[in-house]
Amino acid sequence: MIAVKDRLRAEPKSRWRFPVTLEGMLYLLPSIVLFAVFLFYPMFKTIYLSLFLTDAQGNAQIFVGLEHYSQLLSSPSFRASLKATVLFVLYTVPAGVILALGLALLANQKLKGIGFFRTLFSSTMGMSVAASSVIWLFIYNPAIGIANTIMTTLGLQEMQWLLNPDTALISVAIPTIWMNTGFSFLILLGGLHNIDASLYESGKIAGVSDFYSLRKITLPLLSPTLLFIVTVSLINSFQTFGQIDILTKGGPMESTNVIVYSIFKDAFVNFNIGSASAQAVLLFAFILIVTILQFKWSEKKVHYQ
Amino acid sequence: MKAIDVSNLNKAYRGEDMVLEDVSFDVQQGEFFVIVGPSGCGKSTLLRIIAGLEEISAGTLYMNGEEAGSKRPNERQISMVFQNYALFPHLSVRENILFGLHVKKIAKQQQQERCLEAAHLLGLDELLDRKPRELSGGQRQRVALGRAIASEAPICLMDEPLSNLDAKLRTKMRAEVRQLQRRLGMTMVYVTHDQVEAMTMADRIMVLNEGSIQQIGRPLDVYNYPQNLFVATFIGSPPMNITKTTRKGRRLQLTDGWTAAAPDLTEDVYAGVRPEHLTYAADAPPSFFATVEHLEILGTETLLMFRMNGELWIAKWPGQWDFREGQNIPLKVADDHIHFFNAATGERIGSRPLPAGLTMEAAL
Ligand SMILES: Nc1ncnc2c1ncn2[C@@H]1O[C@H](COP(=O)(O)OP(=O)(O)O)[C@@H](O)[C@H]1O
Ligand SMILES: [Mg+2]
Repeated sequence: MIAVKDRLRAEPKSRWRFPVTLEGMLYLLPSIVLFAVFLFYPMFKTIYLSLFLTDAQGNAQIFVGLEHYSQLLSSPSFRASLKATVLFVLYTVPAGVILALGLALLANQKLKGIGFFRTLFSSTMGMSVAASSVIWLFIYNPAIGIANTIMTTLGLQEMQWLLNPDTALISVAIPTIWMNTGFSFLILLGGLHNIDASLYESGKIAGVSDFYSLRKITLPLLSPTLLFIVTVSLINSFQTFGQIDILTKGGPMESTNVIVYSIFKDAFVNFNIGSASAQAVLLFAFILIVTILQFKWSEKKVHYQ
Repeated sequence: MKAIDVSNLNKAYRGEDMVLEDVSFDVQQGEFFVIVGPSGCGKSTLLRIIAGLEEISAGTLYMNGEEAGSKRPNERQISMVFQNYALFPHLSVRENILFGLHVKKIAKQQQQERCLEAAHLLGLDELLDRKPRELSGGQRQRVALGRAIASEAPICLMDEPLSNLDAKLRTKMRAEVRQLQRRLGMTMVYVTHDQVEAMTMADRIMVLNEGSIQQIGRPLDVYNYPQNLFVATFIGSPPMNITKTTRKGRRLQLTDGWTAAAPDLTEDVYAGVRPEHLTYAADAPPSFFATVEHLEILGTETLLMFRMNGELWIAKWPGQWDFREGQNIPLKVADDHIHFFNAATGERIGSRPLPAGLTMEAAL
């Protein structure tokens, strides 16, 4: 910017010069092109398609206005989807963040061999959703799975984890937490690492308790990182697809039919692309609102340094 | 009474090399004690051991007459000012000053009084509701001091507290910290790598190098009678000039035509002369002649550089002296301004032990 300004001042007015806004646009061009092709175009196309009835190839046929939206909002199946999604987010996000935070606090201690645990705790980050889901498919297997073995050794009743509509959503939430922990853990550990050790030493000299340190030093100074993790986890959780597809396929009795899975089914199984697009738009709006609310709410509580 | 008493202390981090070796010293109540040494010599480690932030590998630590080596930091009745100030970025100046006071079960009312008092003492009254990032370096420094004052701990530990300030502010804060310590009567253990800070602030200084004590004493005693070559060259700016000597019968020759009475010793000897003790021999017979290699005229003083047996020597004279480079000038050094050091051990030879009986107790 400064360079541009200087040059403008230096050059005589009469000479032709490249308009500044155009020059700026030129620098932005690569990312504008990428965003346009992979983000803006699909987004507007989705909004466009949500206003039409489509054929099996996904071509717009008849304009129906907001009919898809009104149908969706009054459909019990979509409402169930919405409820499953919200429940799923509530199951996975708080638990996942708290678990990752706890592990990060543990792994941030200066102990011998802590590097091993750091690697271990972050290892799920390196696993694909498909591989993890298959592992959990085995764990949940009613006959040979370790989940039921544990239940019996604890003297509890065996469960039909993924097959019972009451437990299926939680049974998918648990692997999701497990998968997300690695990433959240690593980011939170980095955040903890950035907190100046002398602040804790200052606390030690004053004699404050560990819990007080956590509340008054760690959490406030970690709050930007926590906000980031919560936001990413929220969005991730709203968009969960892979583990649903592999573990339950939206069943049993649609109890795990979260919105993204329902979009997938409507678009690529029922070829009802107009309705699927409308759902996608609703999901987008929903995530947008939640994220804005979250930022608004946390504005006062997050301390940027 | 001894506020701090350290005996035969050793420290090694996780079985690595010794960082502190056989360190013994004591700090009197109300004393301003400065630990000075080059970077990496173990000053911070020693201070952190006193604070209880690091463990002792061997040796003992007594504070106020009680064994303190196994006490937790908050049981040692100390406050500490860190090099980076350790201010909480998310708390206001007031909250920073009061941080942790609730642990001592001090009433809210009294906490506020202490805070205002400390703030007033440091000129922070107007800034109490600001965040650290809205303060200048000097103001942050004062907030860190404010926390130490508000805690009313009898012993205050400071680790290079002024090293992040610019030169002018540093000079100002030097005087402020010193006055504050006197006024509040606290015992101060102050760590610095800056020998000027050590000389100007301390009641006593302790020179540390590579983890062992080189010398402990009042600043002027250390300056006038450095115990070894390290202290001689570390304390003083510019440092003491050192040269090798050759034996000429019963005398030592420093350079052509300049000899001094030999100390009673058969080993090789280094001779040292402070820059201000090299004087211009206008009338008196000169000790030797030097060829001016370089001249720095600083207004109030002049630094004159020349070669002595290949080593760079510096003479420091008050006032403005205008010689030309290459000029040959006569220099004079009084015999009792020559320091001798054993070339093998670096230890000071003979002359002038510290004046007897002048311990801190007597001085206070
Ligand atoms: N936590 C630590 N672990 C291992 N070695 C350390 C640690 N802290 C300091 N050291 C080493 O101890 C020596 C002295 O360090 P320090 O006390 O910080 O020196 P100073 O404060 O005098 O500059 C250095 O060689 C440093 O590398
Ligand atoms: Mg240090």
